[in-house]
Amino acid sequence: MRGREQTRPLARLEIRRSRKQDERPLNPPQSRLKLYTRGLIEVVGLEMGLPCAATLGLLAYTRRRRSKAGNLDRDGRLQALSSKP
Amino acid sequence: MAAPDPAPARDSFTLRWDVLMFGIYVFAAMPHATGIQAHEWIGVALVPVLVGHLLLNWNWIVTTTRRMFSALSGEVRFNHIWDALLFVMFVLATASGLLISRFVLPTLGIAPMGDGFWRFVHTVSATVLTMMLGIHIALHLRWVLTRLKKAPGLAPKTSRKEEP
Repeated sequence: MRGREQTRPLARLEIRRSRKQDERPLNPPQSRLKLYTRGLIEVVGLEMGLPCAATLGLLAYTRRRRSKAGNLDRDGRLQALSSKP
Repeated sequence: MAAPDPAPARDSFTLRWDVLMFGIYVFAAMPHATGIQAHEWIGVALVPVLVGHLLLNWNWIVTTTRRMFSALSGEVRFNHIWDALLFVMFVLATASGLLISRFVLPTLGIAPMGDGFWRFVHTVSATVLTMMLGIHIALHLRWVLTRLKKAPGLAPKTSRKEEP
């Protein structure tokens, strides 16, 4: 009995401490605008934007190589590129 | 002498639908900002929007699939395969998201799966899906820019002289 009475205040302290931890937010509260801005930068800028930019660069490079190769005449001389898109 | 034709109504509608889908997807991909409940419902709302996107481009999908093993440029073939993989990734992300949903499934009276496996699958598939979507946009950017140039109000005013 004595053992149980001694642990009761400790148990109450532990419960109080865990409740305070539950109430405390994990991250400091941020404004909605900051959250959306950060989300936009992460999603559109980084996750989507970087692969998009890399692909556009690769496409431009391969298309340029193809157009240069396609403009070679029979003798292998490079012809002027057409001004038409 | 005739003024350049404006973009066909269907292409204009398709472009607007794609922009709408992009906007909805961006919001769906920001659960930290929108909150989990909104994230789940926006994700569910994406499904009919994607179905609409596929139906609007159905002719291209069918035509390209038929020509897959015949004369087709490497770029178009890659584009088509990438689109198919993108669809698979979308289905995986949506399905895993539904399995772990805390609001959508309980609303329908179904208990969600709380295990970490499907949570991991959803996180990974959603991130990969976003990156694949960036590449998808890059592969179709020419079409988008062409439609934007022909959009009414944005088309450049040309002179009455005909081009040689």
